[in-house]
Amino acid sequence: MALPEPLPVDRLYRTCDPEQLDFETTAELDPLEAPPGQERALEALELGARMRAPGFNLFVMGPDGAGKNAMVQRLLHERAAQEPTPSDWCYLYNFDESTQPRLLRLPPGQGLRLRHDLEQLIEELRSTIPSTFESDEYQSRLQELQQQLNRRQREAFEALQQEAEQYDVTLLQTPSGFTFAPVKDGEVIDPEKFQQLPEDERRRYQQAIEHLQERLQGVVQQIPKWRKEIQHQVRRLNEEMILLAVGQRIQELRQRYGELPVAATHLDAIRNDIIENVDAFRSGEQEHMEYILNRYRANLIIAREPDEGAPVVYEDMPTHQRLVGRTEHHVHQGALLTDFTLIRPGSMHLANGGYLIIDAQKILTQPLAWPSLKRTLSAGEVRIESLEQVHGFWTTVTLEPEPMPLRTKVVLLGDRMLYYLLAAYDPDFPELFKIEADLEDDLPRDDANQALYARMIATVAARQQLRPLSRGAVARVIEHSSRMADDSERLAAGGRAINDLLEEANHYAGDAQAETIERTHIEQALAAQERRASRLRDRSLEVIRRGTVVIPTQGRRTASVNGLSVLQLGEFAFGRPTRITATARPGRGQLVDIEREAKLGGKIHSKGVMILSRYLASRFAADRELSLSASIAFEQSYGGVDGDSASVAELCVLLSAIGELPIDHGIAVTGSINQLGEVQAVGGVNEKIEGFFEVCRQQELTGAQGVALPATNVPHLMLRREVREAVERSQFHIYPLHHVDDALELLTGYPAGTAGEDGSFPAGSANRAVADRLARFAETRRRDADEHHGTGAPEEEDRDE
Amino acid sequence: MSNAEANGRRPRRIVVLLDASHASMAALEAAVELAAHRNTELLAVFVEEEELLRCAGYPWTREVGLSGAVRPIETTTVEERMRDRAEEVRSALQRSSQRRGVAARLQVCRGRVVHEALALVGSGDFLVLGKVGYARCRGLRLGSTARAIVHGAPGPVMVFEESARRERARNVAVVVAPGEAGLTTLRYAQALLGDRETLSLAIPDAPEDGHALRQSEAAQWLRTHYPQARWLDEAATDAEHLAAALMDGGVEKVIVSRRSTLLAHHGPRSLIESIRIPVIVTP
Repeated sequence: MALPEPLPVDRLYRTCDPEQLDFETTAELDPLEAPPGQERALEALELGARMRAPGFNLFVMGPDGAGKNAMVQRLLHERAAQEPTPSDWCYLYNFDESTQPRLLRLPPGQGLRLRHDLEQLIEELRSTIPSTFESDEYQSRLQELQQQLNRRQREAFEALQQEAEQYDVTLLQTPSGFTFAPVKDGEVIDPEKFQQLPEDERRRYQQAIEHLQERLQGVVQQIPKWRKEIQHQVRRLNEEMILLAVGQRIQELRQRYGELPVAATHLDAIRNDIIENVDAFRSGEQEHMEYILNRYRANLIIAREPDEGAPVVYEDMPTHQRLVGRTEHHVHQGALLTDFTLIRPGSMHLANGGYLIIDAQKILTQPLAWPSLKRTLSAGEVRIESLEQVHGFWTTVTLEPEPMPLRTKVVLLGDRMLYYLLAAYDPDFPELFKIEADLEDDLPRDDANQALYARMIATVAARQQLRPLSRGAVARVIEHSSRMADDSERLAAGGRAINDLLEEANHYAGDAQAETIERTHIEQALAAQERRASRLRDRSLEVIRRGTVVIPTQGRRTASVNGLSVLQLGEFAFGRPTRITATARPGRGQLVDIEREAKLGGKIHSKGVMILSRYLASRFAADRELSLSASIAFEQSYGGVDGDSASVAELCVLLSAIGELPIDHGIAVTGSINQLGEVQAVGGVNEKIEGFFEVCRQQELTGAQGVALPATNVPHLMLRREVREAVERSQFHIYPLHHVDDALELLTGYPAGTAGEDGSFPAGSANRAVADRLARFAETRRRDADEHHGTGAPEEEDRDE
Repeated sequence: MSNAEANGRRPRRIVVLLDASHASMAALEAAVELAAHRNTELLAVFVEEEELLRCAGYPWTREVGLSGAVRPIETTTVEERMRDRAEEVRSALQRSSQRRGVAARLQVCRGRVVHEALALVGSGDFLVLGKVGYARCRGLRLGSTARAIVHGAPGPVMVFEESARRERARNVAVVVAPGEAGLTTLRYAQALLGDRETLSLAIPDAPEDGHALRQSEAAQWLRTHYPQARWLDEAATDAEHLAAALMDGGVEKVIVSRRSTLLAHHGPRSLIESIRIPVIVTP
């Protein structure tokens, strides 16, 4: 097998030729309607926005920083502007049940008018009604009624008195009522003298008095009835006066809002209420009058312009109260008071008839907000209740405003993990969010898409009011986008990273007083971004330079190899070489993964180690026991490792330990293997290569150094300029690996050797050295076993077994 | 007018008729004020109605309550109630008179209210009584008792009614008849004016003779003593109209002669009932 050839420099980076871009600056480009490569998600969004059936709400998923919010808002705003403007809504006092304010729906634009009309009506009432009741006409008619009652009572009593006189009886008043007494010569007869009267006369008196008492009783019982009659007449008088004062005005309003039954009912109720509360108006008690007038107002919670289109609301703080609205309270002498004018709308109200955008993670982290949203969507109406009310912690009487029928399309934004968790664990979720819009992370990099990408950059620049970009700058952004996608054949889908890059480059262009953003400004921004984020990387390089962390980059060593790892810190990732070492001695086929034993290794890493141990066993001890006890460790690694990208390096170091084959430390290895020894792709190759390059560069570039990586990772290479220049000058090399034997040859300098028909490897090959050493281990074990068998001592077992 | 003339009409004693009703208690306050202002003695009179006691003596007498309920009444209960009310009146009198430093005395007598009251007062006494007493529930603003007293008393009588208005300078209206009678009334009025009170309105007793009245000696007297007083123009033929005119004029008290045509024309009940401010009827 031949040694792997180092990759030519043009395989390390896919440049974007500015000449291929047919514009000078992005100012010439038409803006894009929709972001490129997101057809699937856009189709879903479009469908979700159009479907009016309940439950067809949307979940837009994509990674953080993908620009979901901006994209969704832009698309929905464009769409909503074409849609009909939804209604205005206001809360009115409920004269039948004051704790349940009524909801009035008005055509858009009418809300403000109604509120104004009612304010004006109140203003009129405030002045007209008291003056009406102070008028001479009212006063004299009221007095007349009062006198009517007096006259009636007086006449009744006078008639009674006259009748009594006919019987020689008089009506006497006691402190608590009336009584009759017989009279003679204008004086009440003394009871003793009465007894002396003839019996006939006495009986006559008694009968007369009994008769009169009955009549009196009748009169007294009539009085409340008369009073009631008079009250009724007073009420009719009040009604008449009120109609005279404001009837015309109320009638006008009734005609204006006659088509709205709730408004018409409210106006009628106002009229009746004024009549009901005449005394308050008459008394001139300002506070009481204001209290009554206040109830005639309209609490306009949603007011729209007639042609403003459907609303698009982004709720950045989706708490229960901010979603469903709330009822505020006044503190009055230590007590909390509220009324319908203190009802405040929530974002559900504001977005009614349109779209409500909510960040899924935010709503899920707000206490009980998610159940409230679901309940509202399921019920199809917004009920303004406090959490205390909903959960019964608060039982004091408070308002229960009439719920508002809801026709809002809710758009949740979140990452995929949230979507799949909700779909799996929340049974209501699939019912309420039937449309998923899954944003692509990246798109294929071909000529057509590069052109689209350029237009997307132009759109961002125009929208954010940046300077136009020269085509050189666009080309650089496209290259960077490939690097972000970790793939020379794909482009990252844009989003926050690209926006921020353009903003920053625009800033540098401004500093340089340039008309356009040039490639240098992009480079400057990228370098600055890297510099800002690279403190830990520089620290890491420093500890390697000082020898605190031992990473030899020259010479050959047995049982040691340079592996590669990637550290992700926020948005910034960097590669760092890691020294992997191994030990080998006779044993019963154990491979100790020290990382796993120390609980520093993850599951995938363990799996990689198991695969390589099985590969080792099947290759070198296919038909017998593998007499080996080996261990692998990541030196100076204290934070835990995971992933199987070190499998190739681990296998090589193990073979080096067994076969006592020195390994070239100028070459670092990455790649995972399968049980057949084939090398498979891993992630983060660019960062890994650059990480090792930096370490080599700070020690010394010898020209023999390089990185071996899976051949299938080659299309992912988008290496930075320094590496490419070093490769060009043959100071650094990148080797593609297909099989673990390629790595073995490259690292040891020996041919790997292929097993012959008898299963033995050719002499002088690396595999032969391994096989021979394993055979010696087996021999040693056999001999030891025999000796122990002879002495009867127990067979030595590995401690870790 | 000489001082002697005025002094002759100045009351020597205030007599107030009490029955423990709300109106009579208000009248008591007014009487105490008058006595304090004039530094005269105050006599409060409470009459235990003999007729009522007699009536209660009949075993078959029943009382019809204001609710229409019928219940028996007994002499002992009636007497007890009368004692209670007399006690109530006594303590109210004591309270008010002590506060204003007025020498006051309560006389409790038994008999008919009108008879007893008239028997106690002389021409030098100023009698004060509440406008609505027992009569209230009968739809009357002035009871037969008050009517009889207004007619029969030898001196001035004030039928008191609590007024909502309380102004610093209190305006008093007076009904002036033509001739000597008018002058007499004016002189009485001057003598009866209370604290901070002034004659502000003159009501012609014979409206048809208004012009002559304004040229009369009485008018001359009024101009001299109360130059700010004005004449009521319109003919106050109707008691209600008169009441409204008094209201508009901000008048708080009316003084009228018992002999005036106005009183005779409307009847004391009708006129005093209609006017909702205190009315003083002079001899």
